[in-house]
Amino acid sequence: MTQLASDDFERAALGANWSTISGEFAWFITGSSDATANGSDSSSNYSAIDWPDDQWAEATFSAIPIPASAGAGAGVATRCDPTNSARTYYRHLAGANGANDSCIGKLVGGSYTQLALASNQGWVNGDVVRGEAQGTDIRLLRNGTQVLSASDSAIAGGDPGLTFSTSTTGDPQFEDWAAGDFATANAPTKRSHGFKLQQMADAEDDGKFNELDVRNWWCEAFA
Amino acid sequence: MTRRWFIVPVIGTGTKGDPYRVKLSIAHSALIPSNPDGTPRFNWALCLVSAMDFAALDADVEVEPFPGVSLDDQLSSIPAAARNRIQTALINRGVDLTGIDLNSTVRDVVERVVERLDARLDHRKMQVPE
Repeated sequence: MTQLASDDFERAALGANWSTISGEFAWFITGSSDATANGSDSSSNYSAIDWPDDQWAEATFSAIPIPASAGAGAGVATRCDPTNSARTYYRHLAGANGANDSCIGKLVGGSYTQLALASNQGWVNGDVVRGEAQGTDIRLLRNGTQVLSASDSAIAGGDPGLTFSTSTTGDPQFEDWAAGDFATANAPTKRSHGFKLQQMADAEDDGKFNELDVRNWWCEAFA
Repeated sequence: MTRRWFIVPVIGTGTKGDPYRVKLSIAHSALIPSNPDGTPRFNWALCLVSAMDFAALDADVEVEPFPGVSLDDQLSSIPAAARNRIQTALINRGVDLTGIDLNSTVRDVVERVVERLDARLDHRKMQVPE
């Protein structure tokens, strides 16, 4: 699992690395420290790099809203349509502990489907909300522990981001955000170039190679 | 909390105030495949539901409960009335039950439902809090 991008929001404006999802409002920076959204459905995708289809995104709440209905809350988005020509992405939402505080949904061409829902999962300010989209496995995690998981194939790829779905009491704030892939650590691979140790001859001619034969060794470069 | 499988109607219009969703207000994970335009491919969904009490759900005539306590239960262990009810409900929804017999398990039937909805999906990836 590799982190491919992050943002601590320690500046005045969200800037060019972020785009706004079609048909929604943009997230913005408050107090030169946190990302926030205000009163309306808001989603921004991190568009500065090309993202792998299998991806995760996570953010740390510095203000957590209270969902007023199922499907409301704030969190991260995955597989946002990078062209922003259609309102298409997965929502991984959380809200302050209580009714309907955890939700996974999808927007496909602007049509909203709620895939999974749970209540009373203990969310508090300071928690890390994480969304994962790996193949058809769509997950919501709280502080690294899975809360909900759905199976869906509607959206194959796109950008990760931030998302807010009204109606809530209070607006969300996140103090940081990160996203990445599920690639495993590099496995050893066959070398395509380097040096090969060669021996010219057994200097002592005794059928054994030892320190006395070292003068007959040399390195040969290959590619 | 106990988890059980159900066939549940999909309701809603796909809008913010009325999203496509299953007709449930308790903890669940639903398998709702979409058409390219975002509309649901079917008017029903496979659901994994978590609850302390399923009485209200069992009493809802629009909801079809999967009989059996676990996915490993053989169909032969399930009362005939419950077995026949889900069989009829699934056949009416176009689920192919060819080869399913009393030695089959509830898991075998759930997998046939997933094949009907979207063969790329996996019921094992659906999870709700216990």
